[in-house]
Amino acid sequence: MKNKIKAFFIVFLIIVLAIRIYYVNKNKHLPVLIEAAQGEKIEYCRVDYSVDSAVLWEYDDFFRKNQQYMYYKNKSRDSENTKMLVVKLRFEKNSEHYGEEAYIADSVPVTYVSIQNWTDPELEKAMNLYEDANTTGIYTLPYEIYKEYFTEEKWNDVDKMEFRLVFGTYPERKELIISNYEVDR
Amino acid sequence: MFRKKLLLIKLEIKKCLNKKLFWFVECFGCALAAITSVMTYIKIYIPNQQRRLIILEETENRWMMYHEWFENGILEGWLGCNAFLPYNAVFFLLFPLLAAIPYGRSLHYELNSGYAKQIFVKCKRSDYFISKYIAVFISGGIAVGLPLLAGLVTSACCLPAVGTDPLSLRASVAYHNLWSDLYFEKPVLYALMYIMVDFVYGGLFACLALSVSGWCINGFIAVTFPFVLNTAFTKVISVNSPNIYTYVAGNFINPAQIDCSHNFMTIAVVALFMFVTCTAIYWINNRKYELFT
Repeated sequence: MKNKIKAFFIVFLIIVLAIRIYYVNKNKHLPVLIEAAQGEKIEYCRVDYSVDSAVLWEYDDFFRKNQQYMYYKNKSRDSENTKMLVVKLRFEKNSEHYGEEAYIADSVPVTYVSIQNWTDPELEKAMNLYEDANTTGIYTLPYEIYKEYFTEEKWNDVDKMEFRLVFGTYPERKELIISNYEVDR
Repeated sequence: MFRKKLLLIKLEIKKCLNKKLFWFVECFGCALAAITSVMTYIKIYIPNQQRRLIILEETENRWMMYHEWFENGILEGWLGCNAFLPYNAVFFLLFPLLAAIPYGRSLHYELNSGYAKQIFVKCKRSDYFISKYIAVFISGGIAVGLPLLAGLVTSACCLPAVGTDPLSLRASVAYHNLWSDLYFEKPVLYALMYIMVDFVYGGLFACLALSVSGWCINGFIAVTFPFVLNTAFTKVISVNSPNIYTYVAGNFINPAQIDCSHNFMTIAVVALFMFVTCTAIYWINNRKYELFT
Protein backbone atom coordinates (compact mmCIF):
# COMPACT_ATOMS: atom_id res chain seq x y z
CA MET A 1 0.00 0.00 0.00
CA LYS A 2 2.81 2.36 0.97
CA ASN A 3 4.63 1.65 -2.30
CA LYS A 4 1.45 2.36 -4.28
CA ILE A 5 1.04 5.73 -2.57
CA LYS A 6 4.71 6.54 -3.25
CA ALA A 7 4.35 5.58 -6.91
CA PHE A 8 1.15 7.63 -7.26
CA PHE A 9 2.83 10.66 -5.70
CA ILE A 10 5.85 10.36 -8.01
CA VAL A 11 3.70 10.06 -11.12
CA PHE A 12 1.55 13.02 -9.99
CA LEU A 13 4.67 15.12 -9.41
CA ILE A 14 6.07 14.25 -12.84
CA ILE A 15 2.79 15.22 -14.53
CA VAL A 16 2.62 18.55 -12.65
CA LEU A 17 6.24 19.35 -13.53
CA ALA A 18 5.70 18.42 -17.19
CA ILE A 19 2.64 20.67 -17.43
CA ARG A 20 4.48 23.57 -15.79
CA ILE A 21 7.56 23.17 -18.07
CA TYR A 22 5.28 22.97 -21.13
CA TYR A 23 3.45 26.14 -20.03
CA VAL A 24 6.68 28.08 -19.43
CA ASN A 25 8.09 27.12 -22.83
CA LYS A 26 4.84 27.83 -24.65
CA ASN A 27 4.81 31.39 -23.27
CA LYS A 28 8.40 32.32 -24.00
CA HIS A 29 8.93 35.63 -25.79
CA LEU A 30 11.50 35.45 -28.54
CA PRO A 31 11.95 38.24 -31.10
CA VAL A 32 10.95 37.94 -34.73
CA LEU A 33 14.21 37.51 -36.63
CA ILE A 34 14.52 39.57 -39.81
CA GLU A 35 17.68 38.91 -41.79
CA ALA A 36 19.06 40.67 -44.80
CA ALA A 37 21.84 39.23 -46.90
CA GLN A 38 24.73 41.37 -48.07
CA GLY A 39 23.44 43.96 -50.54
CA GLU A 40 19.85 43.87 -49.22
CA LYS A 41 18.30 46.65 -47.14
CA ILE A 42 16.99 46.76 -43.59
CA GLU A 43 14.93 49.56 -42.07
CA TYR A 44 15.61 50.62 -38.49
CA CYS A 45 14.30 53.77 -36.79
CA ARG A 46 13.32 55.44 -40.09
CA VAL A 47 16.68 54.76 -41.73
CA ASP A 48 17.40 52.13 -44.41
CA TYR A 49 20.75 50.34 -44.06
CA SER A 50 22.67 48.02 -46.36
CA VAL A 51 26.28 46.82 -46.31
CA ASP A 52 28.31 48.62 -48.96
CA SER A 53 31.62 46.87 -48.26
CA ALA A 54 33.62 45.31 -45.45
CA VAL A 55 37.33 44.70 -44.89
CA LEU A 56 38.97 42.53 -42.24
CA TRP A 57 42.29 44.28 -41.55
CA GLU A 58 45.40 43.24 -39.69
CA TYR A 59 45.41 45.69 -36.78
CA ASP A 60 48.78 47.33 -37.51
CA ASP A 61 48.09 47.50 -41.25
CA PHE A 62 44.85 49.42 -40.72
CA PHE A 63 46.54 52.17 -38.76
CA ARG A 64 49.58 52.18 -41.04
CA LYS A 65 47.35 52.84 -44.07
CA ASN A 66 45.08 55.23 -42.16
CA GLN A 67 47.60 57.39 -40.33
CA GLN A 68 44.92 59.99 -39.52
CA TYR A 69 43.43 57.55 -36.97
CA MET A 70 46.72 56.57 -35.32
CA TYR A 71 45.71 58.50 -32.18
CA TYR A 72 42.95 55.94 -31.55
CA LYS A 73 45.20 52.89 -31.79
CA ASN A 74 45.27 50.79 -28.64
CA LYS A 75 48.96 50.70 -27.67
CA SER A 76 48.70 47.28 -26.01
CA ARG A 77 47.28 45.63 -29.14
CA ASP A 78 48.89 44.55 -32.40
CA SER A 79 48.29 42.25 -35.38
CA GLU A 80 49.27 39.19 -33.31
CA ASN A 81 46.24 39.51 -31.04
CA THR A 82 43.76 41.82 -32.82
CA LYS A 83 42.07 42.23 -36.17
CA MET A 84 39.99 45.19 -37.31
CA LEU A 85 36.70 44.72 -39.14
CA VAL A 86 35.74 47.92 -40.94
CA VAL A 87 32.18 47.93 -42.31
CA LYS A 88 30.94 50.60 -44.67
CA LEU A 89 27.20 50.94 -44.23
CA ARG A 90 25.07 52.67 -46.83
CA PHE A 91 22.26 54.58 -45.14
CA GLU A 92 19.22 56.43 -46.43
CA LYS A 93 17.01 58.42 -44.10
CA ASN A 94 13.24 58.27 -44.60
CA SER A 95 12.17 61.24 -42.50
CA GLU A 96 9.80 62.51 -45.22
CA HIS A 97 8.03 59.16 -45.32
CA TYR A 98 7.57 58.94 -41.56
CA GLY A 99 7.17 62.70 -41.01
CA GLU A 100 9.80 63.00 -38.26
CA GLU A 101 13.56 63.35 -37.91
CA ALA A 102 15.66 60.26 -38.45
CA TYR A 103 19.08 59.63 -36.85
CA ILE A 104 21.74 57.12 -37.71
CA ALA A 105 21.88 54.34 -35.11
CA ASP A 106 25.02 54.62 -33.01
CA SER A 107 26.94 51.76 -31.42
CA VAL A 108 25.62 48.97 -33.65
CA PRO A 109 26.89 45.67 -32.27
CA VAL A 110 28.36 42.96 -34.47
CA THR A 111 27.95 39.28 -33.61
CA TYR A 112 29.99 36.37 -34.93
CA VAL A 113 29.68 32.79 -33.67
CA SER A 114 28.63 33.52 -30.05
CA ILE A 115 30.73 36.64 -29.60
CA GLN A 116 29.54 40.20 -29.63
CA ASN A 117 31.42 43.45 -30.13
CA TRP A 118 30.66 47.12 -30.18
CA THR A 119 32.65 49.82 -31.95
CA ASP A 120 35.23 52.07 -30.32
CA PRO A 121 32.95 55.13 -30.00
CA GLU A 122 35.77 57.66 -30.37
CA LEU A 123 37.18 56.03 -33.50
CA GLU A 124 33.67 55.68 -34.92
CA LYS A 125 33.03 59.38 -34.36
CA ALA A 126 36.37 60.32 -35.95
CA MET A 127 35.58 58.21 -39.03
CA ASN A 128 32.09 59.76 -39.48
CA LEU A 129 32.50 63.42 -38.57
CA TYR A 130 29.66 64.86 -40.63
CA GLU A 131 27.73 61.83 -41.84
CA ASP A 132 24.82 62.14 -39.45
CA ALA A 133 23.75 65.46 -40.98
CA ASN A 134 23.24 63.91 -44.44
CA THR A 135 20.11 62.22 -45.69
CA THR A 136 22.06 59.57 -47.50
CA GLY A 137 25.67 58.41 -47.51
CA ILE A 138 28.20 55.91 -46.19
CA TYR A 139 28.68 55.34 -42.47
CA THR A 140 31.82 53.53 -41.32
CA LEU A 141 31.82 51.11 -38.39
CA PRO A 142 35.17 49.88 -36.99
CA TYR A 143 35.23 46.74 -34.80
CA GLU A 144 38.24 45.34 -32.97
CA ILE A 145 38.28 41.53 -32.86
CA TYR A 146 40.37 40.10 -30.04
CA LYS A 147 42.29 36.84 -30.02
CA GLU A 148 41.39 36.28 -26.34
CA TYR A 149 37.82 35.42 -27.40
CA PHE A 150 39.02 32.43 -29.42
CA THR A 151 41.00 29.26 -29.04
CA GLU A 152 44.25 29.05 -31.05
CA GLU A 153 42.67 26.91 -33.81
CA LYS A 154 39.56 29.07 -34.13
CA TRP A 155 41.61 32.29 -34.29
CA ASN A 156 43.22 31.00 -37.49
CA ASP A 157 39.75 30.66 -39.05
CA VAL A 158 38.45 34.10 -38.08
CA ASP A 159 38.67 35.30 -41.69
CA LYS A 160 36.18 32.60 -42.73
CA MET A 161 33.50 33.68 -40.24
CA GLU A 162 30.17 35.27 -40.98
CA PHE A 163 29.51 38.57 -39.20
CA ARG A 164 26.10 40.04 -38.44
CA LEU A 165 25.22 43.63 -37.59
CA VAL A 166 22.31 43.71 -35.13
CA PHE A 167 19.68 46.47 -35.24
CA GLY A 168 17.22 46.15 -32.37
CA THR A 169 16.60 43.06 -30.27
CA TYR A 170 12.88 43.06 -29.42
CA PRO A 171 10.15 42.66 -30.68
CA GLU A 172 12.04 42.47 -33.97
CA ARG A 173 15.67 41.51 -34.24
CA LYS A 174 17.06 42.81 -37.52
CA GLU A 175 20.38 41.50 -38.74
CA LEU A 176 22.53 42.48 -41.69
CA ILE A 177 24.69 39.55 -42.74
CA ILE A 178 28.28 40.17 -43.83
CA SER A 179 29.52 37.02 -45.52
CA ASN A 180 31.52 38.55 -48.36
CA TYR A 181 34.39 40.75 -47.17
CA GLU A 182 37.91 41.57 -48.18
CA VAL A 183 40.69 40.13 -46.04
CA ASP A 184 43.84 42.20 -45.66
CA ARG A 185 46.89 39.90 -45.56
CA MET B 1 29.49 -15.52 -9.71
CA PHE B 2 28.68 -12.31 -11.52
CA ARG B 3 25.18 -12.35 -10.07
CA LYS B 4 26.62 -12.56 -6.57
CA LYS B 5 28.85 -9.54 -7.26
CA LEU B 6 25.87 -7.62 -8.60
CA LEU B 7 23.83 -8.48 -5.51
CA LEU B 8 26.66 -7.24 -3.32
CA ILE B 9 26.85 -3.95 -5.21
CA LYS B 10 23.06 -3.55 -4.93
CA LEU B 11 23.28 -4.20 -1.21
CA GLU B 12 25.99 -1.58 -0.76
CA ILE B 13 24.06 1.01 -2.74
CA LYS B 14 20.90 0.24 -0.77
CA LYS B 15 22.84 0.73 2.48
CA CYS B 16 24.04 4.10 1.22
CA LEU B 17 20.57 5.24 0.18
CA ASN B 18 19.18 4.34 3.59
CA LYS B 19 21.66 6.57 5.38
CA LYS B 20 20.36 9.81 6.88
CA LEU B 21 23.58 11.60 5.97
CA PHE B 22 22.98 10.86 2.30
CA TRP B 23 19.55 12.48 2.37
CA PHE B 24 20.85 15.38 4.44
CA VAL B 25 23.44 16.13 1.72
CA GLU B 26 20.80 15.76 -1.01
CA CYS B 27 18.41 18.11 0.80
CA PHE B 28 21.18 20.67 1.27
CA GLY B 29 22.19 20.56 -2.40
CA CYS B 30 18.59 20.60 -3.65
CA ALA B 31 17.80 23.54 -1.34
CA LEU B 32 20.68 25.54 -2.85
CA ALA B 33 19.46 24.64 -6.36
CA ALA B 34 15.84 25.54 -5.61
CA ILE B 35 16.77 28.85 -3.98
CA THR B 36 18.90 29.78 -7.02
CA SER B 37 16.01 29.13 -9.42
CA VAL B 38 13.42 30.89 -7.28
CA MET B 39 15.64 33.93 -6.62
CA THR B 40 16.38 34.23 -10.35
CA TYR B 41 12.66 33.97 -11.12
CA ILE B 42 11.69 36.64 -8.58
CA LYS B 43 14.59 39.07 -8.92
CA ILE B 44 15.43 38.78 -12.61
CA TYR B 45 12.70 37.05 -14.65
CA ILE B 46 9.64 38.91 -13.34
CA PRO B 47 11.19 42.43 -13.61
CA ASN B 48 12.44 41.48 -17.08
CA GLN B 49 8.92 40.51 -18.17
CA GLN B 50 7.55 43.78 -16.80
CA ARG B 51 10.18 45.63 -18.79
CA ARG B 52 9.14 43.75 -21.90
CA LEU B 53 5.64 45.23 -21.64
CA ILE B 54 7.09 48.75 -21.32
CA ILE B 55 9.25 48.18 -24.39
CA LEU B 56 6.25 46.97 -26.40
CA GLU B 57 4.45 50.24 -25.58
CA GLU B 58 7.51 52.32 -26.51
CA THR B 59 7.87 50.45 -29.80
CA GLU B 60 4.91 52.48 -31.03
CA ASN B 61 7.31 55.42 -31.29
CA ARG B 62 9.73 53.23 -33.34
CA TRP B 63 12.69 54.32 -31.19
CA MET B 64 13.90 50.81 -30.34
CA MET B 65 17.39 50.72 -28.78
CA TYR B 66 20.05 48.04 -28.97
CA HIS B 67 20.37 45.09 -26.59
CA GLU B 68 17.29 46.42 -24.89
CA TRP B 69 15.43 43.24 -24.11
CA PHE B 70 16.34 39.56 -24.04
CA GLU B 71 14.41 36.54 -22.85
CA ASN B 72 15.93 34.81 -19.80
CA GLY B 73 17.34 31.38 -20.57
CA ILE B 74 17.12 28.23 -18.47
CA LEU B 75 20.80 28.27 -17.54
CA GLU B 76 20.50 31.70 -15.90
CA GLY B 77 18.46 30.09 -13.12
CA TRP B 78 20.45 26.85 -12.88
CA LEU B 79 22.71 26.33 -9.87
CA GLY B 80 25.53 25.21 -12.16
CA CYS B 81 25.68 28.33 -14.34
CA ASN B 82 24.31 31.14 -12.17
CA ALA B 83 27.54 32.76 -11.04
CA PHE B 84 25.80 35.98 -9.98
CA LEU B 85 24.28 34.50 -6.82
CA PRO B 86 26.60 33.04 -4.15
CA TYR B 87 25.04 29.55 -4.12
CA ASN B 88 27.06 28.36 -7.12
CA ALA B 89 30.31 29.26 -5.33
CA VAL B 90 29.15 27.61 -2.09
CA PHE B 91 28.09 24.40 -3.81
CA PHE B 92 31.29 23.96 -5.81
CA LEU B 93 33.49 24.91 -2.86
CA LEU B 94 31.83 22.17 -0.78
CA PHE B 95 31.65 19.80 -3.78
CA PRO B 96 34.27 17.27 -2.53
CA LEU B 97 32.77 17.31 0.97
CA LEU B 98 29.23 16.74 -0.30
CA ALA B 99 30.46 13.85 -2.41
CA ALA B 100 32.43 12.18 0.40
CA ILE B 101 30.03 12.62 3.33
CA PRO B 102 27.31 10.06 2.45
CA TYR B 103 29.41 6.89 2.13
CA GLY B 104 33.09 7.89 2.11
CA ARG B 105 33.87 6.57 5.58
CA SER B 106 31.73 3.43 5.38
CA LEU B 107 34.67 1.07 4.88
CA HIS B 108 36.54 2.56 7.83
CA TYR B 109 33.47 2.12 10.02
CA GLU B 110 32.68 -1.43 8.83
CA LEU B 111 36.24 -2.67 9.27
CA ASN B 112 36.50 -1.24 12.78
CA SER B 113 33.10 -2.43 13.91
CA GLY B 114 33.61 -6.01 12.73
CA TYR B 115 30.75 -5.89 10.21
CA ALA B 116 33.21 -6.49 7.37
CA LYS B 117 34.41 -9.77 8.94
CA GLN B 118 30.85 -11.07 8.82
CA ILE B 119 30.74 -10.24 5.14
CA PHE B 120 34.09 -11.98 4.54
CA VAL B 121 32.50 -15.19 5.79
CA LYS B 122 29.74 -15.00 3.22
CA CYS B 123 31.59 -13.86 0.10
CA LYS B 124 35.01 -13.30 -1.42
CA ARG B 125 36.96 -10.43 0.10
CA SER B 126 37.83 -9.01 -3.28
CA ASP B 127 34.12 -8.90 -4.17
CA TYR B 128 33.40 -6.93 -1.01
CA PHE B 129 36.12 -4.35 -1.63
CA ILE B 130 35.24 -3.94 -5.30
CA SER B 131 31.53 -3.56 -4.59
CA LYS B 132 32.35 -1.06 -1.84
CA TYR B 133 34.46 0.98 -4.29
CA ILE B 134 31.71 0.97 -6.92
CA ALA B 135 29.01 1.86 -4.40
CA VAL B 136 31.05 4.75 -3.00
CA PHE B 137 31.70 6.03 -6.52
CA ILE B 138 28.00 5.92 -7.36
CA SER B 139 26.99 7.49 -4.04
CA GLY B 140 29.46 10.35 -4.51
CA GLY B 141 28.23 10.92 -8.04
CA ILE B 142 24.58 10.93 -7.00
CA ALA B 143 25.29 13.17 -4.01
CA VAL B 144 26.41 16.00 -6.29
CA GLY B 145 24.63 15.08 -9.51
CA LEU B 146 21.11 14.87 -8.11
CA PRO B 147 21.00 18.47 -6.77
CA LEU B 148 22.28 19.74 -10.13
CA LEU B 149 19.61 17.72 -11.94
CA ALA B 150 16.94 18.90 -9.52
CA GLY B 151 18.17 22.45 -10.06
CA LEU B 152 17.79 22.02 -13.81
CA VAL B 153 14.19 20.85 -13.34
CA THR B 154 13.31 23.74 -11.00
CA SER B 155 14.93 26.18 -13.42
CA ALA B 156 12.91 24.62 -16.28
CA CYS B 157 9.76 25.30 -14.24
CA CYS B 158 10.65 28.98 -13.99
CA LEU B 159 12.54 29.87 -17.16
CA PRO B 160 12.14 28.78 -20.81
CA ALA B 161 14.61 26.34 -22.31
CA VAL B 162 16.34 28.87 -24.55
CA GLY B 163 20.00 29.73 -24.78
CA THR B 164 21.39 32.95 -23.37
CA ASP B 165 21.82 35.65 -26.02
CA PRO B 166 25.49 36.77 -26.22
CA LEU B 167 24.36 40.39 -26.67
CA SER B 168 22.58 40.32 -23.31
CA LEU B 169 25.99 40.07 -21.54
CA ARG B 170 24.41 37.59 -19.10
CA ALA B 171 26.32 34.56 -20.36
CA SER B 172 28.79 33.02 -17.92
CA VAL B 173 30.45 30.94 -20.63
CA ALA B 174 32.55 32.47 -23.39
CA TYR B 175 33.12 31.24 -26.94
CA HIS B 176 36.53 29.77 -26.14
CA ASN B 177 35.18 27.73 -23.21
CA LEU B 178 34.26 24.04 -23.34
CA TRP B 179 31.01 23.23 -25.18
CA SER B 180 30.20 26.92 -25.69
CA ASP B 181 28.15 26.09 -28.82
CA LEU B 182 25.89 23.90 -26.71
CA TYR B 183 25.61 26.56 -24.00
CA PHE B 184 24.19 29.11 -26.42
CA GLU B 185 22.16 26.81 -28.68
CA LYS B 186 21.23 23.68 -26.70
CA PRO B 187 21.39 24.72 -23.05
CA VAL B 188 19.68 21.65 -21.63
CA LEU B 189 22.15 19.34 -23.37
CA TYR B 190 25.02 21.47 -22.04
CA ALA B 191 23.67 21.14 -18.50
CA LEU B 192 23.20 17.38 -18.81
CA MET B 193 26.71 16.86 -20.16
CA TYR B 194 28.25 18.89 -17.37
CA ILE B 195 26.14 17.00 -14.81
CA MET B 196 27.74 13.81 -16.18
CA VAL B 197 31.20 15.35 -15.70
CA ASP B 198 30.29 16.37 -12.13
CA PHE B 199 28.86 12.88 -11.48
CA VAL B 200 32.20 11.35 -12.40
CA TYR B 201 34.21 13.81 -10.33
CA GLY B 202 31.85 13.49 -7.38
CA GLY B 203 32.42 9.75 -7.52
CA LEU B 204 36.18 10.22 -7.71
CA PHE B 205 36.27 12.55 -4.71
CA ALA B 206 34.21 10.04 -2.72
CA CYS B 207 36.60 7.25 -3.77
CA LEU B 208 39.52 9.40 -2.66
CA ALA B 209 37.97 9.60 0.82
CA LEU B 210 37.41 5.83 0.75
CA SER B 211 41.00 5.16 -0.32
CA VAL B 212 42.67 7.25 2.37
CA SER B 213 40.34 6.01 5.12
CA GLY B 214 42.81 3.17 5.72
CA TRP B 215 45.46 5.71 6.81
CA CYS B 216 43.12 7.71 9.03
CA ILE B 217 42.52 7.31 12.72
CA ASN B 218 38.90 8.35 12.35
CA GLY B 219 36.42 8.68 9.55
CA PHE B 220 36.11 12.48 9.87
CA ILE B 221 39.64 12.96 8.54
CA ALA B 222 38.93 10.64 5.61
CA VAL B 223 35.75 12.50 4.68
CA THR B 224 37.33 15.96 4.88
CA PHE B 225 40.57 14.98 3.14
CA PRO B 226 39.30 15.50 -0.46
CA PHE B 227 37.81 18.87 0.50
CA VAL B 228 41.04 20.07 2.14
CA LEU B 229 43.18 18.80 -0.74
CA ASN B 230 40.91 20.37 -3.38
CA THR B 231 40.77 23.71 -1.56
CA ALA B 232 44.54 23.74 -1.12
CA PHE B 233 45.04 23.14 -4.81
CA THR B 234 42.41 25.54 -6.14
CA LYS B 235 42.87 28.44 -3.73
CA VAL B 236 46.57 28.27 -2.90
CA ILE B 237 48.81 26.10 -5.05
CA SER B 238 47.33 26.66 -8.53
CA VAL B 239 46.93 30.41 -7.96
CA ASN B 240 50.69 30.66 -7.34
CA SER B 241 51.56 28.13 -10.06
CA PRO B 242 49.66 29.06 -13.24
CA ASN B 243 51.10 26.04 -15.08
CA ILE B 244 48.99 23.61 -13.09
CA TYR B 245 45.89 25.81 -12.87
CA THR B 246 44.03 24.11 -15.71
CA TYR B 247 44.84 20.63 -14.38
CA VAL B 248 43.25 21.08 -10.96
CA ALA B 249 39.88 19.32 -10.74
CA GLY B 250 38.36 22.00 -8.51
CA ASN B 251 38.82 24.56 -11.30
CA PHE B 252 36.79 22.73 -13.93
CA ILE B 253 33.94 21.05 -12.09
CA ASN B 254 32.00 24.33 -12.22
CA PRO B 255 29.77 24.50 -15.35
CA ALA B 256 29.93 28.31 -15.20
CA GLN B 257 33.61 27.98 -16.21
CA ILE B 258 34.45 31.28 -14.56
CA ASP B 259 37.97 30.38 -13.48
CA CYS B 260 39.55 29.19 -16.70
CA SER B 261 38.94 27.84 -20.15
CA HIS B 262 38.42 24.10 -20.04
CA ASN B 263 39.34 21.36 -22.44
CA PHE B 264 37.62 17.97 -22.56
CA MET B 265 40.91 16.13 -22.98
CA THR B 266 42.24 17.73 -19.78
CA ILE B 267 39.08 16.76 -17.90
CA ALA B 268 39.30 13.16 -19.13
CA VAL B 269 43.03 12.82 -18.39
CA VAL B 270 42.72 14.26 -14.88
CA ALA B 271 39.75 11.96 -14.18
CA LEU B 272 41.78 8.96 -15.33
CA PHE B 273 44.72 10.05 -13.20
CA MET B 274 42.50 10.43 -10.14
CA PHE B 275 40.90 7.04 -10.77
CA VAL B 276 44.25 5.27 -11.08
CA THR B 277 45.64 7.04 -7.99
CA CYS B 278 42.57 6.31 -5.85
CA THR B 279 42.50 2.67 -6.95
CA ALA B 280 46.21 2.23 -6.23
CA ILE B 281 45.93 3.79 -2.76
CA TYR B 282 42.79 1.72 -2.06
CA TRP B 283 44.57 -1.50 -3.02
CA ILE B 284 47.72 -0.64 -1.01
CA ASN B 285 45.69 0.20 2.11
CA ASN B 286 43.54 -2.92 1.99
CA ARG B 287 45.86 -5.63 0.68
CA LYS B 288 46.50 -6.71 4.28
CA TYR B 289 42.97 -8.18 4.15
CA GLU B 290 44.23 -10.57 1.49
CA LEU B 291 42.11 -9.17 -1.27
CA PHE B 292 42.57 -12.07 -3.61
CA THR B 293 41.20 -14.76 -1.31
